[in-house]
Amino acid sequence: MVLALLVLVGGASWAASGGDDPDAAQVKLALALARTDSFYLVLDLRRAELHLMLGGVPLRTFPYTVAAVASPRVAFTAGRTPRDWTGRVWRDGGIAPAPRRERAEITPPPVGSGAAPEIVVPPLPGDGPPPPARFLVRFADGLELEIRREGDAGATGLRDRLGLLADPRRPHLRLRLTLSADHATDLYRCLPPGVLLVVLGRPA
Amino acid sequence: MIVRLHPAAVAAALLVTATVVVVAGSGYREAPLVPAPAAAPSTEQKRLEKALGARIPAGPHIVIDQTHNRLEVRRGREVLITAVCSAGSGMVLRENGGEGRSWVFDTPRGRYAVRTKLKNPAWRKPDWAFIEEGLPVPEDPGERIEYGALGDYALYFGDGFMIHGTLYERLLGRSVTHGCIRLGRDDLAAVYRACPVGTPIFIF
Repeated sequence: MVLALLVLVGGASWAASGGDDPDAAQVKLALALARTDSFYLVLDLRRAELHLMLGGVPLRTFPYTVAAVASPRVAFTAGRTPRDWTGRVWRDGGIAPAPRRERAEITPPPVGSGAAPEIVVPPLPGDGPPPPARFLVRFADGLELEIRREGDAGATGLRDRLGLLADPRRPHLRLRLTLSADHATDLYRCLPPGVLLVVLGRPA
Repeated sequence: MIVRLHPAAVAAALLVTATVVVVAGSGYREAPLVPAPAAAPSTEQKRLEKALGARIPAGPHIVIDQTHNRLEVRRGREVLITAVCSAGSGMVLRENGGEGRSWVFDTPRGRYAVRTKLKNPAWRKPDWAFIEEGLPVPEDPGERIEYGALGDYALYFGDGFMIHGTLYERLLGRSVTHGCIRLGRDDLAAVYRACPVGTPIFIF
């Protein structure tokens, strides 16, 4: 049922979801996602905020200070930028590079040995390894959110070019959002796998 | 004068030139993402936005950030209680001998609800609690019952998971549990008072 709904909204276009009222169509998509059990992101262009949502409830809000649309081109050939990128659901989003998660294993003492069990005190969340300065939330259908930290002024021209050439999963469109360092770190650490994305508002 | 070039040198030069051209012609063309001025919402958009806003529970609901070990009780958009908690450690326990079972101590993500509330709850220790300590798993169910370990209150939300107290308040803020959510004594009392049975719980 949920899967069918997602397939439906995933393929929805303006005409299918809201006729000639694109703003209402976007809200309709957000409402459809609120009725599922999936985690999803709402990119609110009007308020310059990215929300992590479940069931219509905003779990975390990540304000951004700068946003840009980056269209890829390879060997002077521009890709096919989706025209309706603000009017559809983007599916199966995940962090790239994926956060490293090593599961520690508890070794219980042998039964009846009387030995004390092993006690492992994990670090505080903020003490973990820092996330990369830039990371992507990569969606299955060709959209990428590139998350940058405020103050990160490193040049990316050559790295972007080479990365684009080497990547078999070339994006159709990349949105660049600049977040505060704390918000970027929190987003990297807490984003559940397989999120969906809808956009509210349209570019000028 | 006739300059003779070695064919291999010519091929190499062509290859390098082609590579430089391809790299130079690849990359992202970036434009600022400026939202279009908001138009007056249509009647349909207003209706949909009202329906979307109604997805946020008007009554109390619990939002748990298991990555950062933070719990909030909200009513509508208002935050009533903010607390430091402890969520699942993510560790793996493997049984020495026996049936060779294993357990992963994760807190589940998703939408739940308070199913039962208990004062002075008794803990019915599962098999892993004995195995972890190197103790034989008792056959008598009565030997599984332990008092005091869960604190003064417990809010059960299904699949064996609860929000409860702890004997180890110094570890709050760290991911140390077997999947349940632990709170400090005062925060637990406040959450218990604020959240009736049926209160939605959102864990991310």
